[in-house]
Amino acid sequence: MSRVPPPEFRRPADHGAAGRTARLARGALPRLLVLVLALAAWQLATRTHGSVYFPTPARIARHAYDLWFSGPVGHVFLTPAAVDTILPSLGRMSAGFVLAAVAGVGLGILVGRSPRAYALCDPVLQFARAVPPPTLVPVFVVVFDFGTPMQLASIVFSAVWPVLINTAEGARDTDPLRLDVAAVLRLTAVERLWFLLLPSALPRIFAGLRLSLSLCLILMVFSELLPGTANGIGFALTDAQSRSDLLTVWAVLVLLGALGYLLNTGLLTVEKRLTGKRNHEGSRMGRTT
Amino acid sequence: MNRRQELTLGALGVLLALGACEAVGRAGLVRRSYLPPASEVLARAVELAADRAFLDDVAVTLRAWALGLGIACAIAIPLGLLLGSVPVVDDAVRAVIEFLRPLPSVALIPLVSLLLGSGTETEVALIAYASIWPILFNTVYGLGETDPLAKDTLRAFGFGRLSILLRVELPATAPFIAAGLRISAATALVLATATELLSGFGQGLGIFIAQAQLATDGTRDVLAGVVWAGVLGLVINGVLVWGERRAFPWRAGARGAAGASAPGGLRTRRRFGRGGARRDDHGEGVSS
Repeated sequence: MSRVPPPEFRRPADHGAAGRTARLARGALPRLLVLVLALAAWQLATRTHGSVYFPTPARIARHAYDLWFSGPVGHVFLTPAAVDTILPSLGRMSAGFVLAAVAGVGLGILVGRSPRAYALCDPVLQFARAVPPPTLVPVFVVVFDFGTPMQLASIVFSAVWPVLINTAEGARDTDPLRLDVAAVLRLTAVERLWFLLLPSALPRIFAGLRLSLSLCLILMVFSELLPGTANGIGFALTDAQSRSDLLTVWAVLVLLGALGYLLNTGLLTVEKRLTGKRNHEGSRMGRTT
Repeated sequence: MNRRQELTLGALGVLLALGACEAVGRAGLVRRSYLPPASEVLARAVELAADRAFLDDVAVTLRAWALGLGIACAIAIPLGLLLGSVPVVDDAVRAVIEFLRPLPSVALIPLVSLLLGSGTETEVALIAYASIWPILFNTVYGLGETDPLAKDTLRAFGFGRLSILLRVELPATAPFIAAGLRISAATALVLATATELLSGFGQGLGIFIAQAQLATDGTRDVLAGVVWAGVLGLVINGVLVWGERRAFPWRAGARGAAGASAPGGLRTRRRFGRGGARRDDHGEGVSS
């Protein structure tokens, strides 16, 4: 049990392009079939049950379409309601994510480069990360009042720590031999950052970014669920809840699931391109909450 | 740098951070009642530690947290073992899971509170939902990492599928499950506080914060609550990391302490790790 074989023996052989296609055919098609079956089962179950709380998926989809995606072609089919609901949320979330990523990677490299700086910051960072982000939102509400700055602050403040800590660790673990080589080659600080530190920290950075992305989504919704917000997906949710409009609640949930899925897949694609990771688990294994 | 220097520097860092908070609070960048200085917040936090009502709040939150996490384990570990060992079921269920998982769990609060009311059931259900994924994915991933030689050996000796699962695969997967549990524990705390903050009445740490927010001059109480929430998170993480080290000493090389990182299924092989030792540290498990 304690004997773990070296990694190269554990990794299944790469089957190449042909194998990949075969795997796709084997993996993707039955999955799609299963998904369709699951949807059908859901439809059937909700239909026979006829509960107000559980509308049928067909009605949910129809409602979501009417609500958001039946707009004119000029607006990419988005209705005014969608423009009012989805775009502000997405804007805040992506702005928060980008800010957190940039700040996290920058500070993380700084902290990770020096053992002293790392030792100095580590306890504070661990504490900052341990605080459940929603508890801080009331503080931001007081400081910034309701609105976009408060929401942005909540998102950035919760999403920055995983990136920062992971980047710092990645930078700290840069191979000392390579650092020596860089010193011998007299690489400038910028070159060292670009050719050595960032690439070696990249897998860790992305591990942090994935955590951050899920936190961003959670905080985006949470900060909009609070009373006092005027627009956004979370607001649509509370609004529908207060009217006991379960169809809209379900439609919003489906929308959020789809958004989460798309954002996740997008990040994974970027990660694969940048790190050249070829493990197919990467696409299968879990990422976000 | 030795351990002692690290500790000294760490303590210095904490002091510096507190000093910075104190300075921001006193400088009047924001109104004093909005952002009280660190000393006042800490004093209040210490005061709260002796406050019975507050301790009851914390206990209620912790109970919901533990219950939700327990339910998540009870669902995720058997399901993970099933998915990891029966490929057909894996293919079938994974498509559904892939669409359930990215949903930000906080968004379920309105629906679940319509269904279950805004009580403990809602909180526990949401915590369980959010905590299932890291444990589930780590279990499946860990099963895939089991030493095939050990499995083959048992098979050669005539052990059945189930006993191989119990004797080899489960122990080999346990570190991964534990790593998933640690990630879930943090998520569960997030969900616990988020649900309580939104429900706004009853008992709980989040409710304490939500009510403090409404009081005049309440930010001090809010921040004191946040301090305790952070301490709670740190303690939980610390205990779990310690438990992992104790229970799975053979994985101690993996960077368990880092807790922060969760290189999901990364297979970073470090040929030239520190001191030339080779190690791969995906023992962190799959992030979620």
